[in-house]
Amino acid sequence: MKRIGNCSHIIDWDEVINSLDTQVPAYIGPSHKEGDGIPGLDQVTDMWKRAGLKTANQGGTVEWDMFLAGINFDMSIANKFAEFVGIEKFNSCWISRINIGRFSPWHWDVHDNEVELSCRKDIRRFHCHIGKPAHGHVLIVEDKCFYNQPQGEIYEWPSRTSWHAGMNCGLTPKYLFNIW
Amino acid sequence: MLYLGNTGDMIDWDEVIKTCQSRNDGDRNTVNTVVDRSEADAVGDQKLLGYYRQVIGTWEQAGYNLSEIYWYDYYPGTHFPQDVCNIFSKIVEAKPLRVFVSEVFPGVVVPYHWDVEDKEEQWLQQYGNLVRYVCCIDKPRFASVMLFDKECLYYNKQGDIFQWDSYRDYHSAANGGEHPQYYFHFLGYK
Repeated sequence: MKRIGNCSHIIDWDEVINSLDTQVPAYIGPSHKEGDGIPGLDQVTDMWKRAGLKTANQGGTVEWDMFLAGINFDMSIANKFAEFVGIEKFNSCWISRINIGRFSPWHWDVHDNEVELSCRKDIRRFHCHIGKPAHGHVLIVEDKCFYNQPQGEIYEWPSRTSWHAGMNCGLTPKYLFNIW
Repeated sequence: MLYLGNTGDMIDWDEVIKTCQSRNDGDRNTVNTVVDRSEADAVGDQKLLGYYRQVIGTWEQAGYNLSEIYWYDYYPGTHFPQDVCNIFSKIVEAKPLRVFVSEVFPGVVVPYHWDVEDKEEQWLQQYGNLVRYVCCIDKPRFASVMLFDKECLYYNKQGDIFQWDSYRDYHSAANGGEHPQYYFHFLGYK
Protein backbone atom coordinates (compact mmCIF):
# COMPACT_ATOMS: atom_id res chain seq x y z
CA MET A 1 0.00 0.00 0.00
CA LYS A 2 1.33 3.37 -0.93
CA ARG A 3 0.23 6.64 0.64
CA ILE A 4 -0.51 9.15 -2.10
CA GLY A 5 -1.47 12.25 -0.13
CA ASN A 6 -4.45 14.08 1.27
CA CYS A 7 -7.20 15.64 -0.81
CA SER A 8 -9.34 17.27 1.86
CA HIS A 9 -8.26 20.71 0.61
CA ILE A 10 -9.79 20.11 -2.81
CA ILE A 11 -12.89 18.07 -1.93
CA ASP A 12 -15.35 18.87 0.85
CA TRP A 13 -15.93 15.31 2.04
CA ASP A 14 -18.27 16.39 4.86
CA GLU A 15 -20.57 17.85 2.24
CA VAL A 16 -20.39 14.68 0.14
CA ILE A 17 -21.22 12.53 3.17
CA ASN A 18 -24.07 14.81 4.20
CA SER A 19 -25.58 14.50 0.73
CA LEU A 20 -25.39 10.68 0.92
CA ASP A 21 -26.96 10.58 4.37
CA THR A 22 -30.34 11.43 2.93
CA GLN A 23 -30.16 9.11 -0.09
CA VAL A 24 -31.10 5.54 -0.79
CA PRO A 25 -27.94 3.67 -1.89
CA ALA A 26 -27.66 2.56 -5.54
CA TYR A 27 -27.57 -0.96 -4.19
CA ILE A 28 -26.68 -2.96 -1.12
CA GLY A 29 -23.70 -5.30 -1.15
CA PRO A 30 -22.76 -8.01 -1.65
CA SER A 31 -24.01 -7.95 -5.21
CA HIS A 32 -22.87 -11.49 -6.01
CA LYS A 33 -23.82 -14.75 -4.41
CA GLU A 34 -22.67 -18.35 -4.35
CA GLY A 35 -23.11 -20.03 -7.72
CA ASP A 36 -23.10 -16.85 -9.83
CA GLY A 37 -20.45 -18.42 -12.02
CA ILE A 38 -17.96 -15.56 -12.07
CA PRO A 39 -14.31 -16.66 -12.11
CA GLY A 40 -12.81 -16.28 -8.65
CA LEU A 41 -16.09 -15.74 -6.83
CA ASP A 42 -16.02 -19.15 -5.19
CA GLN A 43 -12.79 -18.19 -3.37
CA VAL A 44 -14.84 -15.61 -1.51
CA THR A 45 -18.15 -17.44 -1.11
CA ASP A 46 -16.44 -20.66 0.00
CA MET A 47 -14.53 -18.79 2.69
CA TRP A 48 -17.63 -16.99 3.92
CA LYS A 49 -19.46 -20.31 4.07
CA ARG A 50 -16.63 -21.94 6.05
CA ALA A 51 -16.66 -19.01 8.46
CA GLY A 52 -20.43 -19.05 8.85
CA LEU A 53 -20.74 -15.49 7.57
CA LYS A 54 -24.27 -14.53 6.51
CA THR A 55 -25.73 -11.50 4.81
CA ALA A 56 -28.17 -9.29 6.70
CA ASN A 57 -30.94 -10.76 4.54
CA GLN A 58 -30.00 -14.21 5.81
CA GLY A 59 -30.00 -12.97 9.40
CA GLY A 60 -26.28 -12.15 9.56
CA THR A 61 -24.22 -8.97 9.65
CA VAL A 62 -22.69 -8.88 6.16
CA GLU A 63 -24.00 -5.77 4.46
CA TRP A 64 -22.78 -2.52 2.99
CA ASP A 65 -24.32 0.35 1.06
CA MET A 66 -23.02 1.38 -2.36
CA PHE A 67 -23.21 4.94 -3.67
CA LEU A 68 -22.10 5.43 -7.25
CA ALA A 69 -20.41 8.36 -8.95
CA GLY A 70 -22.77 10.06 -11.38
CA ILE A 71 -25.79 8.61 -9.60
CA ASN A 72 -25.47 9.32 -5.90
CA PHE A 73 -22.75 11.93 -6.00
CA ASP A 74 -21.48 14.27 -8.65
CA MET A 75 -19.10 12.93 -11.26
CA SER A 76 -17.00 16.08 -10.74
CA ILE A 77 -15.91 14.62 -7.38
CA ALA A 78 -14.58 11.50 -9.13
CA ASN A 79 -12.90 13.57 -11.84
CA LYS A 80 -11.26 15.89 -9.33
CA PHE A 81 -9.99 12.91 -7.38
CA ALA A 82 -8.70 11.17 -10.53
CA GLU A 83 -6.78 14.28 -11.50
CA PHE A 84 -5.32 14.55 -7.99
CA VAL A 85 -3.97 10.99 -8.04
CA GLY A 86 -2.87 11.23 -11.66
CA ILE A 87 -5.11 8.84 -13.54
CA GLU A 88 -6.67 9.89 -16.84
CA LYS A 89 -9.46 7.34 -16.97
CA PHE A 90 -11.24 5.18 -14.47
CA ASN A 91 -13.62 2.27 -14.80
CA SER A 92 -15.35 2.32 -11.48
CA CYS A 93 -15.92 4.84 -8.70
CA TRP A 94 -18.08 4.45 -5.62
CA ILE A 95 -18.46 5.32 -1.99
CA SER A 96 -19.16 2.46 0.37
CA ARG A 97 -20.95 2.86 3.65
CA ILE A 98 -20.75 0.31 6.42
CA ASN A 99 -23.35 0.91 9.06
CA ILE A 100 -22.72 0.14 12.70
CA GLY A 101 -22.33 -3.54 13.52
CA ARG A 102 -22.06 -4.46 9.85
CA PHE A 103 -19.24 -6.04 7.87
CA SER A 104 -17.77 -6.24 4.47
CA PRO A 105 -15.86 -9.41 5.39
CA TRP A 106 -12.62 -10.66 3.94
CA HIS A 107 -12.97 -10.70 0.14
CA TRP A 108 -11.68 -9.34 -3.11
CA ASP A 109 -13.87 -7.38 -5.48
CA VAL A 110 -14.89 -9.94 -8.06
CA HIS A 111 -16.20 -8.07 -11.09
CA ASP A 112 -18.87 -9.21 -13.57
CA ASN A 113 -16.29 -8.63 -16.28
CA GLU A 114 -13.51 -10.48 -14.48
CA VAL A 115 -12.25 -12.47 -17.47
CA GLU A 116 -11.44 -9.34 -19.47
CA LEU A 117 -10.26 -7.28 -16.52
CA SER A 118 -7.86 -9.92 -15.32
CA CYS A 119 -5.86 -9.51 -18.54
CA ARG A 120 -5.29 -5.80 -18.01
CA LYS A 121 -2.10 -4.60 -16.38
CA ASP A 122 -2.82 -0.87 -16.47
CA ILE A 123 -5.41 -0.69 -13.70
CA ARG A 124 -4.59 1.35 -10.60
CA ARG A 125 -6.83 1.32 -7.54
CA PHE A 126 -7.08 3.90 -4.78
CA HIS A 127 -9.15 4.50 -1.70
CA CYS A 128 -9.73 7.61 0.37
CA HIS A 129 -10.78 7.94 4.00
CA ILE A 130 -13.54 10.49 3.60
CA GLY A 131 -14.99 10.45 7.11
CA LYS A 132 -13.34 11.96 10.12
CA PRO A 133 -11.46 9.43 12.29
CA ALA A 134 -13.84 7.53 14.56
CA HIS A 135 -13.55 4.63 16.96
CA GLY A 136 -14.43 1.31 15.36
CA HIS A 137 -14.06 2.33 11.71
CA VAL A 138 -11.63 -0.11 10.13
CA LEU A 139 -10.40 -0.93 6.66
CA ILE A 140 -8.02 -3.81 6.14
CA VAL A 141 -6.14 -4.43 2.92
CA GLU A 142 -4.06 -7.60 3.01
CA ASP A 143 -1.93 -7.33 6.16
CA LYS A 144 -2.39 -3.57 6.61
CA CYS A 145 -4.96 -2.02 8.89
CA PHE A 146 -6.21 1.53 8.29
CA TYR A 147 -7.57 3.05 11.45
CA ASN A 148 -7.92 6.61 12.68
CA GLN A 149 -6.78 7.93 9.30
CA PRO A 150 -7.15 11.68 8.83
CA GLN A 151 -10.04 12.73 6.59
CA GLY A 152 -8.90 12.87 2.96
CA GLU A 153 -6.00 10.40 3.21
CA ILE A 154 -5.42 8.48 -0.03
CA TYR A 155 -3.72 5.13 -0.57
CA GLU A 156 -2.95 3.20 -3.72
CA TRP A 157 -3.58 -0.55 -3.58
CA PRO A 158 -1.09 -3.23 -4.61
CA SER A 159 -3.76 -4.56 -6.99
CA ARG A 160 -7.40 -4.08 -7.96
CA THR A 161 -7.96 -7.59 -6.67
CA SER A 162 -6.24 -7.26 -3.29
CA TRP A 163 -8.08 -9.04 -0.49
CA HIS A 164 -9.64 -6.63 1.96
CA ALA A 165 -12.35 -6.12 4.57
CA GLY A 166 -14.25 -3.27 6.18
CA MET A 167 -15.86 -3.28 9.60
CA ASN A 168 -17.70 -0.94 11.85
CA CYS A 169 -17.83 -1.58 15.59
CA GLY A 170 -18.17 2.12 16.36
CA LEU A 171 -21.08 4.45 16.90
CA THR A 172 -21.45 6.18 13.51
CA PRO A 173 -21.58 5.01 9.84
CA LYS A 174 -18.24 4.54 8.09
CA TYR A 175 -17.69 5.92 4.58
CA LEU A 176 -14.92 5.09 2.09
CA PHE A 177 -14.30 6.46 -1.40
CA ASN A 178 -13.00 3.93 -3.95
CA ILE A 179 -11.81 4.29 -7.52
CA TRP A 180 -10.04 2.19 -10.14
CA MET B 1 -0.63 0.98 24.55
CA LEU B 2 2.81 -0.22 25.37
CA TYR B 3 4.34 -3.17 23.57
CA LEU B 4 6.04 -5.38 26.17
CA GLY B 5 7.37 -8.29 24.17
CA ASN B 6 6.44 -11.70 22.93
CA THR B 7 5.45 -14.78 24.89
CA GLY B 8 5.31 -17.17 21.94
CA ASP B 9 8.15 -19.33 23.24
CA MET B 10 6.98 -19.25 26.89
CA ILE B 11 3.35 -20.32 26.60
CA ASP B 12 1.86 -22.76 24.11
CA TRP B 13 -0.97 -20.53 22.99
CA ASP B 14 -2.14 -22.97 20.31
CA GLU B 15 -2.80 -25.44 23.09
CA VAL B 16 -4.70 -22.83 25.13
CA ILE B 17 -6.89 -22.03 22.12
CA LYS B 18 -7.43 -25.70 21.39
CA THR B 19 -8.47 -26.28 25.00
CA CYS B 20 -10.93 -23.35 24.93
CA GLN B 21 -12.35 -24.56 21.61
CA SER B 22 -12.93 -27.99 23.09
CA ARG B 23 -15.06 -26.58 25.92
CA ASN B 24 -18.76 -26.08 25.57
CA ASP B 25 -19.18 -24.31 28.89
CA GLY B 26 -17.46 -20.98 28.24
CA ASP B 27 -19.33 -17.95 29.55
CA ARG B 28 -21.57 -16.68 26.78
CA ASN B 29 -21.80 -12.93 27.15
CA THR B 30 -24.73 -10.96 25.83
CA VAL B 31 -26.25 -7.67 26.81
CA ASN B 32 -28.46 -9.59 29.23
CA THR B 33 -26.03 -12.11 30.69
CA VAL B 34 -23.27 -9.64 31.57
CA VAL B 35 -25.67 -7.75 33.80
CA ASP B 36 -27.35 -10.90 35.16
CA ARG B 37 -23.99 -12.31 36.22
CA SER B 38 -22.84 -9.08 37.75
CA GLU B 39 -22.87 -8.65 41.50
CA ALA B 40 -24.48 -5.29 40.90
CA ASP B 41 -27.64 -7.07 39.89
CA ALA B 42 -27.59 -9.26 42.97
CA VAL B 43 -26.98 -6.53 45.51
CA GLY B 44 -28.74 -3.71 43.67
CA ASP B 45 -25.60 -1.60 43.42
CA GLN B 46 -27.01 1.35 41.50
CA LYS B 47 -23.62 2.88 40.66
CA LEU B 48 -22.37 -0.36 39.14
CA LEU B 49 -25.65 -1.03 37.36
CA GLY B 50 -25.40 2.52 36.02
CA TYR B 51 -22.06 1.69 34.38
CA TYR B 52 -23.57 -1.30 32.60
CA ARG B 53 -26.61 0.71 31.58
CA GLN B 54 -24.39 3.48 30.24
CA VAL B 55 -22.43 1.07 27.99
CA ILE B 56 -25.55 -0.71 26.76
CA GLY B 57 -27.38 2.60 26.35
CA THR B 58 -24.59 3.89 24.11
CA TRP B 59 -25.01 0.85 21.85
CA GLU B 60 -28.77 1.17 21.85
CA GLN B 61 -28.62 4.87 21.04
CA ALA B 62 -26.22 4.23 18.15
CA GLY B 63 -28.74 1.80 16.70
CA TYR B 64 -27.14 -1.59 17.37
CA ASN B 65 -29.29 -4.66 17.24
CA LEU B 66 -28.41 -5.77 20.77
CA SER B 67 -29.29 -9.39 20.06
CA GLU B 68 -26.41 -9.61 17.56
CA ILE B 69 -23.80 -8.80 20.22
CA TYR B 70 -22.23 -11.77 21.93
CA TRP B 71 -18.85 -13.24 22.78
CA TYR B 72 -17.44 -16.01 24.93
CA ASP B 73 -15.01 -15.86 27.85
CA TYR B 74 -12.90 -18.72 29.20
CA TYR B 75 -11.30 -18.68 32.64
CA PRO B 76 -8.04 -20.14 33.99
CA GLY B 77 -8.55 -23.00 36.38
CA THR B 78 -12.00 -23.59 34.94
CA HIS B 79 -11.65 -23.75 31.18
CA PHE B 80 -7.88 -23.77 30.65
CA PRO B 81 -4.95 -24.55 32.95
CA GLN B 82 -4.22 -22.14 35.80
CA ASP B 83 -0.53 -22.47 34.94
CA VAL B 84 -1.03 -20.23 31.92
CA CYS B 85 -2.16 -17.41 34.18
CA ASN B 86 0.69 -18.05 36.62
CA ILE B 87 3.34 -17.94 33.90
CA PHE B 88 1.87 -14.80 32.37
CA SER B 89 1.70 -13.20 35.81
CA LYS B 90 5.44 -13.77 36.22
CA ILE B 91 6.19 -12.39 32.76
CA VAL B 92 4.39 -9.09 33.36
CA GLU B 93 5.34 -9.05 37.05
CA ALA B 94 1.77 -8.42 38.19
CA LYS B 95 -0.71 -10.29 40.38
CA PRO B 96 -3.89 -11.45 38.66
CA LEU B 97 -7.35 -10.24 39.61
CA ARG B 98 -9.41 -11.12 36.58
CA VAL B 99 -7.98 -13.17 33.74
CA PHE B 100 -9.78 -14.63 30.75
CA VAL B 101 -9.57 -15.59 27.11
CA SER B 102 -12.13 -13.90 24.85
CA GLU B 103 -13.57 -15.51 21.75
CA VAL B 104 -15.35 -13.57 19.01
CA PHE B 105 -16.79 -15.43 16.05
CA PRO B 106 -16.65 -14.32 12.40
CA GLY B 107 -19.29 -11.73 11.57
CA VAL B 108 -19.58 -10.52 15.15
CA VAL B 109 -18.68 -7.18 16.68
CA VAL B 110 -18.27 -6.31 20.31
CA PRO B 111 -18.87 -2.57 20.08
CA TYR B 112 -17.25 0.37 21.80
CA HIS B 113 -17.17 -0.18 25.56
CA TRP B 114 -15.06 -0.37 28.67
CA ASP B 115 -14.97 -3.44 30.86
CA VAL B 116 -17.16 -2.69 33.82
CA GLU B 117 -15.65 -4.54 36.77
CA ASP B 118 -17.80 -5.52 39.74
CA LYS B 119 -14.95 -5.41 42.24
CA GLU B 120 -13.23 -2.31 40.88
CA GLU B 121 -13.69 -0.12 43.96
CA GLN B 122 -12.73 -2.89 46.35
CA TRP B 123 -9.61 -3.70 44.38
CA LEU B 124 -8.60 -0.06 44.05
CA GLN B 125 -8.86 0.33 47.81
CA GLN B 126 -6.90 -2.85 48.41
CA TYR B 127 -4.21 -2.61 45.75
CA GLY B 128 -4.04 0.97 44.53
CA ASN B 129 -3.80 1.25 40.78
CA LEU B 130 -4.79 -1.63 38.50
CA VAL B 131 -2.94 -2.72 35.38
CA ARG B 132 -4.29 -4.42 32.32
CA TYR B 133 -2.62 -6.40 29.55
CA VAL B 134 -3.77 -8.05 26.37
CA CYS B 135 -1.96 -10.83 24.58
CA CYS B 136 -2.51 -11.75 20.93
CA ILE B 137 -2.65 -15.50 21.36
CA ASP B 138 -3.63 -16.67 17.93
CA LYS B 139 -1.55 -16.71 14.79
CA PRO B 140 -1.95 -13.58 12.64
CA ARG B 141 -5.44 -13.77 11.15
CA PHE B 142 -6.78 -11.65 8.33
CA ALA B 143 -9.63 -9.24 9.04
CA SER B 144 -9.76 -9.75 12.79
CA VAL B 145 -9.12 -6.70 14.97
CA MET B 146 -9.19 -5.32 18.47
CA LEU B 147 -9.51 -1.54 18.62
CA PHE B 148 -8.70 1.15 21.12
CA ASP B 149 -9.30 4.87 20.75
CA LYS B 150 -5.87 5.46 19.25
CA GLU B 151 -4.64 2.03 18.21
CA CYS B 152 -5.62 -1.13 16.47
CA LEU B 153 -4.30 -4.63 17.07
CA TYR B 154 -4.14 -6.41 13.74
CA TYR B 155 -2.05 -9.22 12.34
CA ASN B 156 0.18 -9.24 15.41
CA LYS B 157 2.61 -12.03 16.09
CA GLN B 158 1.28 -14.85 18.21
CA GLY B 159 2.24 -14.08 21.79
CA ASP B 160 2.62 -10.29 21.52
CA ILE B 161 1.74 -8.53 24.79
CA PHE B 162 0.55 -4.96 25.19
CA GLN B 163 -0.10 -2.98 28.34
CA TRP B 164 -3.16 -0.75 28.22
CA ASP B 165 -2.81 2.97 28.96
CA SER B 166 -5.57 2.53 31.56
CA TYR B 167 -7.47 -0.57 32.68
CA ARG B 168 -10.62 1.41 31.86
CA ASP B 169 -9.67 2.09 28.23
CA TYR B 170 -12.54 1.99 25.80
CA HIS B 171 -12.14 -0.76 23.23
CA SER B 172 -14.03 -2.89 20.74
CA ALA B 173 -13.50 -5.97 18.62
CA ALA B 174 -14.61 -7.09 15.18
CA ASN B 175 -14.05 -10.26 13.26
CA GLY B 176 -14.53 -10.13 9.49
CA GLY B 177 -12.29 -13.11 8.86
CA GLU B 178 -12.52 -16.85 8.60
CA HIS B 179 -11.41 -17.95 12.07
CA PRO B 180 -12.68 -17.18 15.57
CA GLN B 181 -10.71 -14.45 17.29
CA TYR B 182 -8.88 -15.08 20.57
CA TYR B 183 -7.19 -12.70 23.02
CA PHE B 184 -5.85 -13.35 26.51
CA HIS B 185 -6.77 -10.59 28.98
CA PHE B 186 -5.13 -9.91 32.32
CA LEU B 187 -6.33 -7.39 34.89
CA GLY B 188 -4.14 -7.22 37.96
CA TYR B 189 -1.96 -5.11 40.19
CA LYS B 190 1.73 -4.57 40.77
